[in-house]
Amino acid sequence: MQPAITADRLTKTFLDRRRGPVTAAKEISFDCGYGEVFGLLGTNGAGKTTTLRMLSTVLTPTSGTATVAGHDVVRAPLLVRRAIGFLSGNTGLYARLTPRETLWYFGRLHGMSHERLGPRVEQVLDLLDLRPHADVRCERLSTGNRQKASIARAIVHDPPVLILDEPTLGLDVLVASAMVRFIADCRARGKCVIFSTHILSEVEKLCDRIAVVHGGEVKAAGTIEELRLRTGKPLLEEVFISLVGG
Amino acid sequence: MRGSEPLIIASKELRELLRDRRAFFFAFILPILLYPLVFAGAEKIETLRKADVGDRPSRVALAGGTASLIAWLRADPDIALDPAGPDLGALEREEIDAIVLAPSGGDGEDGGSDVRILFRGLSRGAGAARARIERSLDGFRRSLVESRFRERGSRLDPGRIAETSARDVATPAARAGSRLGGILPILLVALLLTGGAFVALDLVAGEKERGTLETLYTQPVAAWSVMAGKFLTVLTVSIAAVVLNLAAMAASAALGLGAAPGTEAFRLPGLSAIAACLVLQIPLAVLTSSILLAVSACARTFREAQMLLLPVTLVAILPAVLAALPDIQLTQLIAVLPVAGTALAIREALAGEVRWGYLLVVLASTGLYAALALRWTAGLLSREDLRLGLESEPLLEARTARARARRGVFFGIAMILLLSYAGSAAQQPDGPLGVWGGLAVTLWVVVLLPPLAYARAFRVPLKDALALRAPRSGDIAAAVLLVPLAVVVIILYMDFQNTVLPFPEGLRGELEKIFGGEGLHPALALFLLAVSPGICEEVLWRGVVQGEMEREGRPLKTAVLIGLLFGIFHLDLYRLAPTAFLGVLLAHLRLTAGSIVPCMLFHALYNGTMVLAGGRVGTLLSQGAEKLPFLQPALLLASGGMMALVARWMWARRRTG
Repeated sequence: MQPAITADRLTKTFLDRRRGPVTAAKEISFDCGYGEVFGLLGTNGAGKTTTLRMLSTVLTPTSGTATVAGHDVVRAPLLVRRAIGFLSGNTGLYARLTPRETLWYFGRLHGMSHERLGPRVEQVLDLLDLRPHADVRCERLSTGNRQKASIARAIVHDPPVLILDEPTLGLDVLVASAMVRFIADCRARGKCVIFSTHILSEVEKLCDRIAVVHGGEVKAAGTIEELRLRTGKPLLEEVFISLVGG
Repeated sequence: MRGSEPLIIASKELRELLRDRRAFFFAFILPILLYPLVFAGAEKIETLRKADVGDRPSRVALAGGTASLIAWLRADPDIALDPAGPDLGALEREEIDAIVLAPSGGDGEDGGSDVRILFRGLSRGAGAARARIERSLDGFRRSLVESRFRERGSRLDPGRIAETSARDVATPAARAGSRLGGILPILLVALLLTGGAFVALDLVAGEKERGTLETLYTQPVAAWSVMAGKFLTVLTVSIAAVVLNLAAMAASAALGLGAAPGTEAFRLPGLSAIAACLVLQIPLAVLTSSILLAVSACARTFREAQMLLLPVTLVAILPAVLAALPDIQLTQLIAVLPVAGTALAIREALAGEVRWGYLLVVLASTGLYAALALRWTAGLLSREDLRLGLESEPLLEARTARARARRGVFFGIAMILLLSYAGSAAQQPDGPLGVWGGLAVTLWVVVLLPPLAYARAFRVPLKDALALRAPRSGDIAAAVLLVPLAVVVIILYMDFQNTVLPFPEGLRGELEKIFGGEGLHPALALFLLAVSPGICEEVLWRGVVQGEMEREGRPLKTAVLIGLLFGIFHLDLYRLAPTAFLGVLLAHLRLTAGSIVPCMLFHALYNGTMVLAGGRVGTLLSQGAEKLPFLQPALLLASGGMMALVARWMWARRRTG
């Protein structure tokens, strides 16, 4: 079966006015299948967000290629976007729309018909326990409910691939736990989930495979067990430190 | 792109806008409330002012004056002579409105003497007092002349002396329309810009800050759809703001608010004028909405967009000010000027004069500008650096290359200006250096030093900037071969040019003197006229300027522009085309050889040929084939063809080598 995501030597270089060329992601390669949760593990500024932005077509790679759900991210960005649900700390919500209106809006942008969209919106609201807040403007929601609304927005069109950039960042324990359950549930439903984090416990709980990213490069990739064997360290924290050279 | 996408986006944006109480209040509610208040306030102030000044006689102190003058002023009901007498302090304290200084004397000495009126311009009632005094003094003067004529038994009746009178034959409606037309276009542009500004800035720059633009760009929606949706929103709000503002203004005026007693009442323009204004407003609104979106797209934050908006608004309003100048009429040129054409067409429409031809030109040109602005905005929004406030390497590299190319061109232009002043001054025949000394200083100081200083100032590695590389033997051979071909082509071209632009005799003699190296040893003449330009001019043009331009990666543009600048650099209209041609050829040599050495060789050899031809250069250039009958068009074709072949061969070598 074709992998849901393939990244082949993905590179992105920015030119900073002061520092000159800065390579945020350098020849990143990995793949990820359906029914799999793949984690990009790295410190702040490691290149995780840049990689996920390239996969979600927000950024164009400087070099290298990537496919998502069989579509090339550069040649067929609209088909890629149709197949993904993208969520990051940078993707905001419309403050003066309610979660229900938000879901309708994004569902319609995905070309969903009214007949299909109506039940799907209710289903997603129930799935994320958002129904009591469905008609409250997003600006008045708590941080947790806002994050739930963001997730609902990302999955309203039922995408086969989920790209989540630090999805638990800034959330309290309960909401973060609900998020972890949601990701596990997505895997159970055969979705491909790729997410970035620097929280090791989440990685241990969720990821089938991980890639440790540091300085814009993939330092190692594989299952957690494989990385333990490779580094000879029993704890994931030690594995991570050993790989990034801390 | 699905046709419904822009509508989905626009309807969401409008829904959000209507829920933003602050934006809704400022865009729609405030105008409705503001205009009646402003108009009523203005009316009240005017009425109070008139009540204060207009209903009471002006208080005037009189100094001097004849008995008859005092009696005349006393009899005037609009003037109350102050018994306290002239006192500047009283004028300052506004206790009196004016002082009249009149010469004293008997009634027989009246007239012919100056009467001065002192008033304090800032004071309320000063203007009215001055006008009343002048009117009263006019009456006094007239009565005095009449009485003197009568006393002398003259038959001349001063009452029949011709007086000038003027009458405006324009209808009141046309007058009102013209007055309105002077103000309305400025108001319209200002309202379109201010009405749509908040929305445009919020929809792009604001969304960048809030991260919602990134959310939108992860949806399966084409960049054009996003732009079109946001544009529709800004356009709708801009037009709604204008309509609401104008309606509120018209309603306030029609209700009689703002019209002080005694002033001409507001007249609503005719239906055809209103229709013409509305039609003209739409492409203008499209243009301003696109500009607003472009400003918003360029900014990374809402605040940055606000800062960009102010100069853009001023620049956009400025052409509309033409409508306020009665002497400026709508012409073909003005009709195609953005904003200005629309402003004057609206003024004409309001004055009841609709010239359909001009109207169509205005509509078409404004529509074209609007389409171009929209296309530009779409381009901006599809750039990831602007969309996300990032810097992407290729974009920045291109920007840097473009900036350097521009800098190089500006430097070249500055050098032309420098040469036109310093070079001309240095080469004066009766100057301290004489012609030859001046030429040497011009080439080795004025032309050579600035490019070297430029390279140092901008830290451009001299070796790269000048392309100081050892040339290949093929390039040297090509440069040598091109010289005779270029000479033949230029002589034949000049033969043609002389038929349309005859070479002046004076210039011919001057060139013969120069290239003849009058009074110079032949070796020195070759050094000064061939070798020196070959080095100094090449360092400037094919060196620093072309080095900067080549970074942009557009060889054709580089060669053409370098050629053109090189032609202008010689400050000679009659030699502009041939020197520009040589400039293009030399630029091509550097581009293909990757070295400045073949250019220097070619330049020195070409000029050397001219020196060797000596006093015949002017003749060759001015009379060409006429004096050399063996030169036939076939020779031109052969030489041109060979040049093209050599150039193509060199280009092919560049690509493979």
